[in-house]
Amino acid sequence: MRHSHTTDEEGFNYMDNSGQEERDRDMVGIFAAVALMLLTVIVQRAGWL
Amino acid sequence: MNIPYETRRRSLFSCLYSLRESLPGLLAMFFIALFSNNLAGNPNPLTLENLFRWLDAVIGPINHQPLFQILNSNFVWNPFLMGLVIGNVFGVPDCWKRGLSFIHILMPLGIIMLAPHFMFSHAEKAGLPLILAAFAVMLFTASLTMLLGRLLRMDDRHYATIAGALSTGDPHVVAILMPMLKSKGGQVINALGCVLLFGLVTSFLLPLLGHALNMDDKAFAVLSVFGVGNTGQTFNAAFGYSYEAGHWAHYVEPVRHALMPAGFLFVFFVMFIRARRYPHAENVMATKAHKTLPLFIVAFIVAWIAVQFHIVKEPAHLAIFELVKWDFSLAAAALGLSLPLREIAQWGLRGVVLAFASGLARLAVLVGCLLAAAHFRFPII
Repeated sequence: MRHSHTTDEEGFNYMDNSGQEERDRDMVGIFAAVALMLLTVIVQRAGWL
Repeated sequence: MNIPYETRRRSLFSCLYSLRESLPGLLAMFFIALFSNNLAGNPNPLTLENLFRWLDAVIGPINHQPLFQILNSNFVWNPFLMGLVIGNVFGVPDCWKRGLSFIHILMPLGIIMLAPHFMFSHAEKAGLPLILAAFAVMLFTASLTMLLGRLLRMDDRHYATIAGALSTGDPHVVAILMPMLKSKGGQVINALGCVLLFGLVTSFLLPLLGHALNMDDKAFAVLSVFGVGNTGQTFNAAFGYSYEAGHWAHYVEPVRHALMPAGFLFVFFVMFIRARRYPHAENVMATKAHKTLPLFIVAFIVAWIAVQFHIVKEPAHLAIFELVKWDFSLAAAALGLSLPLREIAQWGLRGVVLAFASGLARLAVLVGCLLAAAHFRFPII
């Protein structure tokens, strides 16, 4: 059944998260988290924060 | 017709879609976050957070606590509430949905960046007996809640979410457990409500029990932190008992906070192993969709261990936590938009029964142990 809050007319459900799409989202999230934490730590250690 | 992701995938970053597709949803999350919380870099004074602070000032403190802290208003609660109202009153336009799917990137991102927030050294000064007691109470509560949830024939994603939130004493653990357990949005918010209600009721009633048993201020502080949990409600109970108990609750609280990851990881691994042992059981739903151990959980554990060596010092930790606030504000907005109210209500009142049964059992055990400690003059703090 189409979920009006989450599913668009084309059938894309934004709360659905599985398969290759989930793995890609996880990886992008991990990269972003590690990059942001590293950047903050480096900026602090360099005395820019 | 929706084109399957695998067909349109070109690289890892295909999950970000095109800017034209994702911008409306991203802007929706952005503006809900902007009008919900006082986030770093947000110059907007017209936020829900400020409205609650103003109401707190009008109402005045209750047991030295702002009312909306006792009700658990924070950077997850506020945008979620705003998203829920917007979604249920106006609906969610289709053009927002690609952008709102970024919730699945923001969740692992936020969880990993939470790692520097849980420093074990913050608990050290309370001493080993208290740390071990907190750890034992956490595992006892989580195990008991999962057991009672099974006996109540509840959906395992629902009772495991309650177990995580109740045992760690932080209702917002439901958001952390959502991608870990693969819980439904309705289950997550239902669980949040159940744990909040338990904390609210007990934080007002516990001082009466403490006075009836003539408990020591320090013992009552321990009872508030480990028995009620959830910072605002803990302090409501402790200051409701005495100013000294409130003071000591501030001393004990970091122990509960530092151990939180152990609590939600315990619940996750119990459910993960269970799903591997019974892959074909119909009533096993939690974590079942994970074919292997999710990488973001591994990344969180690695980051959590690494930060214990003081890699992330102040103010870098504060800067990272401001990013976490942004992250969870955006994600909570998307979650709020996704939920019709009936989806929260459909999981019924069993969660309330479970939270109260397990929470009251924890309080009974804690009271027994604390009275025994007083009787044998065992120094708790």
